[in-house]
Amino acid sequence: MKKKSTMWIIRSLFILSFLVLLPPCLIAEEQEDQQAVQDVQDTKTQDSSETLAVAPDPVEENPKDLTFEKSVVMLEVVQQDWDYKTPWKQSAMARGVGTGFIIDGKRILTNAHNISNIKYLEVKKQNVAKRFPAKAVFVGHDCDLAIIDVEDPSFYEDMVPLELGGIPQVNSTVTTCGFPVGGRQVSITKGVVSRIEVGNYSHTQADMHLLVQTDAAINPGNSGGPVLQNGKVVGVAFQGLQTADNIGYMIPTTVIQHFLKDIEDGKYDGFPSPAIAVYEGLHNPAYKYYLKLPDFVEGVVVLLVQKNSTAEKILLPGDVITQIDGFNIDNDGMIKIYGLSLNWSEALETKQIGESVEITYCRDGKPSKATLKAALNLPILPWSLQFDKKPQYYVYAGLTFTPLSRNYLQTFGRNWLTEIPFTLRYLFHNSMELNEDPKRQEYVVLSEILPDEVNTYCNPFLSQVVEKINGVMIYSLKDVREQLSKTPEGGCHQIRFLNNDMPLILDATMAQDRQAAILEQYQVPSNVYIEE
Amino acid sequence: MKILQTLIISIVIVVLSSCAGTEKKTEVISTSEKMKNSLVNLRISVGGYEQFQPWKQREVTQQSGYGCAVGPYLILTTANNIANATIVQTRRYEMNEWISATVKTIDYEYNLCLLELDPNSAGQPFEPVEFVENYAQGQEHSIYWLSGGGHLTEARGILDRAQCESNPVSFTDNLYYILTNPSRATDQAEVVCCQDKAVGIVGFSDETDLCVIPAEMINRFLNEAQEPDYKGFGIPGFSTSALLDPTVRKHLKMPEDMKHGVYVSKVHSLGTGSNELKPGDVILSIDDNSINPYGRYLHPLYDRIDMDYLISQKKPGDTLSFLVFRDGSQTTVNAKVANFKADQMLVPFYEYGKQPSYFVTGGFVFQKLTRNYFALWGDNWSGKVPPHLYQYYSNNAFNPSEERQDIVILSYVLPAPINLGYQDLGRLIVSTWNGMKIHSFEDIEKARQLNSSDPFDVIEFEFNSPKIVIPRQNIVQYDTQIGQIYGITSLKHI
Repeated sequence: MKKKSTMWIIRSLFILSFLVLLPPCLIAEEQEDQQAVQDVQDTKTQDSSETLAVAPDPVEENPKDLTFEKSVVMLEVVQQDWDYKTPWKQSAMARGVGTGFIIDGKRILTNAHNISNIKYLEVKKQNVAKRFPAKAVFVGHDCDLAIIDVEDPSFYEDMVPLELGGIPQVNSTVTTCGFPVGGRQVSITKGVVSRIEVGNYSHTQADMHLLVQTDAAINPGNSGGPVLQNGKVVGVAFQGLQTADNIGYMIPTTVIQHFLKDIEDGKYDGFPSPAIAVYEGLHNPAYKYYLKLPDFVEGVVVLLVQKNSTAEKILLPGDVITQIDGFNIDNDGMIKIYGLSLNWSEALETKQIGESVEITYCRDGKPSKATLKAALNLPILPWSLQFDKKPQYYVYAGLTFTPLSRNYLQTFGRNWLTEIPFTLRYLFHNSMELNEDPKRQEYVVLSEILPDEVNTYCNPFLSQVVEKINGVMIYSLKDVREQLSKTPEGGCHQIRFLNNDMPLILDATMAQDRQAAILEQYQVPSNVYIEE
Repeated sequence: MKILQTLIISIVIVVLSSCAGTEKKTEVISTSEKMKNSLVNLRISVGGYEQFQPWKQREVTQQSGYGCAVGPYLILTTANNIANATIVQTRRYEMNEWISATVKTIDYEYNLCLLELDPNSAGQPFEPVEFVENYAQGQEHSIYWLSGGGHLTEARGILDRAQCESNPVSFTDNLYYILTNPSRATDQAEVVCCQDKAVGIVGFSDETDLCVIPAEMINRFLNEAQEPDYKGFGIPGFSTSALLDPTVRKHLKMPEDMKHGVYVSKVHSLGTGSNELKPGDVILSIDDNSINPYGRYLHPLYDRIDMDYLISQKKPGDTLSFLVFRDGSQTTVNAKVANFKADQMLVPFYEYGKQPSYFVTGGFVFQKLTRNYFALWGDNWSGKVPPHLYQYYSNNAFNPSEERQDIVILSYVLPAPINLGYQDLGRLIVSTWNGMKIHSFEDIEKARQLNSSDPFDVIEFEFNSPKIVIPRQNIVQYDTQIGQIYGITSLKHI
């Protein structure tokens, strides 16, 4: 039983982390891998000839599925992330390989994770020696999709764009095309659609959208490649499950269409978030009676409404949402959409930012209707990783302040979730409940101390979250800069941290005097980067 | 040349092995005649309760331990040895019988336990060991015990230092004499002697250090144990942070030549100083012992030692005089020495020998949050326990209040038709029951009497969670049924 109880936690907390992105495979590993791939291919040929001898394959090939040569391209990329403890520095660069394919309008569609934090991008056609430098045009990190463009117009001359199809049937055959573990030729694998459900997109670690599971082999390097059925694209291969055999995932065309429609206006906005936490399990008749719901009414119970979100002032904890956008929500939180039973959030997924969605809810047994505006509704401490965004920081007296983000928390290493200091863990899990102040924009953490005589005694405060400076509440990195730029009363700045009764005291004059020397010694190009 | 080399090597080998041989000979156990009639071997059956199913006792295991006589029929051992014991038996030198012993006094904070034997069954009176307060730094000490095989056994080690160490069974820091590099593996409650004098018993040991509970603590414990009502000793009611930074000292308006004093970062609601000290105070001295920036003072024998030691020597009700620097000036604060038991804490640190509090209704298992409960998350639980549960322990364990004496949680749900839809809930903190704030575990019974005309019990939780609604009709019947299905002998222990 003891073991079981531990299981709960692991299940609820870490189930998402089993999903692994298919990173553009590293060039350094390519040679060895190619050897391995070669071996597998050899045996495969033998096997299949044997099978053929016994029973010929009855599945009819659709010749249209094999037009990949003129549509599928290889991406060679160089990526480099920032160091979120000392955000003026960048971490080591990585080279990799991914896949993309041509769609209408002379565009190349691929995964966002192939080209996040991109430094250099090159596109290669099959059987053509020429390389084409390219650039990212639109990147949707939340849905792991991106559009890239090749400047050389001759690139598109002999290319054939692929057409987008619909959601494939479960148990129907699909073909994936891509460059798994590198290689020069497009590799084709085949499998069936195993299931279709809403799940985690591991690129940002936190976003949930519709995804299609297939047993067609999807490996690193396949990322961004098309998954075809009857000559049409039914998905973009993007991630696999590390702990299982032959479980690969593709992004279905509903998500791709949303992305393409989103960028029609020249910028990417993203998917809306409902900004509420609900209970998807209203099965208990006593609970229904208490909520004054008739027995036949089904729905989900609102537990929490995010501050400063579009749902605030519309919904209250205890409301039961029964319909969204005309779809009836059942007691498991599912709606019937696309001929499938999917989580109610799928109805909101069809909306673009700024559009609205109608909901029906019961409060005190009385049904009402309301219109929710589809918005990003970003939380104070986002669970999503961020990319392509230079991290913000402020350095004062060698103390480096930065907004608390998942990227920063992951600097604690592989087991960051259990190894980060407790206050950070508490905020990461419960910032929605813990922050009661609508003025808060973010939490600010003391991420690094650049050692100097002025901060000799500051080490105990490392990795702690700033609460107040000189008696003023801190709601953002800008507040930190504002307070520390002032001349404090009595000549000393007093910084208070969350859950720490000891204040950090800094001599303001000395801090001012040492500032230039510290920046020079530690090669900090500027003491501040804050987006205005 | 080569032959010569081999010859030399073989000679060396011969010499080495003969050395080893002689070493073995000197290792022959020397017995101390004096100890023969004082040492006992203990056989302890350890039980306790499961945390996940608190109605169930854990499998009983047997362990052996040591002890020594401190009276004709009184045995001293560590509290750690006796924690969760269901039965304790003793055997003396050259005797075959196991004689049952009962716990007379146990103090987990001092980590000492006094056992009593029935003179009728124990036979000849023991010869009590007399503990002498003696701190002979640098000298060799002998450690004696009566082994499981009935041998009087001895080890040796050098007394290196005295220091405050964290107690392995409680939340306190205590004085220990540290012996280094003992000549063989040692265990709790073995008697440590310097020349012919017993100076302490082994508290705990690791690979290099042997931590000895010194005679002064043992004697204080034994004297106090004579009293009809054992009260124990002082426990600090605050925590401190080192005060090194001259800028902070300046900010606190401390004179520049004042280099001592430690910063009070937290004042709890239990323990010594909890009513008198304030966060932000700087403790300059306690009973005229000047406190350094790390919170230590200069002891004539032990050199620099933690101020916790000063508090742990006092009895509850005694007074300690704190000189503090507060709001820019020095003030003397007379603090009443106080202590507390683990079950007074908001999240009890231990529950040795006690059945955990629980309450089962409608298949919902409610439990009192304790530190032991966290063990369900396995090793390194501090990083895995849900943070909202953990913060009551890490930030507020010593801060129970009128408002909050216990943390009551819904531990998990035993699936049954009555709790349909709720079956995956768990690890939630109860805030109200039938609209009544839950301050302690006992409140559950009071709250259940409320709103007697309502058809339901309604329970609310902290943070985002659905309310639990339990129908009252036929609930007794349902509860009995669930108890039978899941083998729960009693549906509550409060």
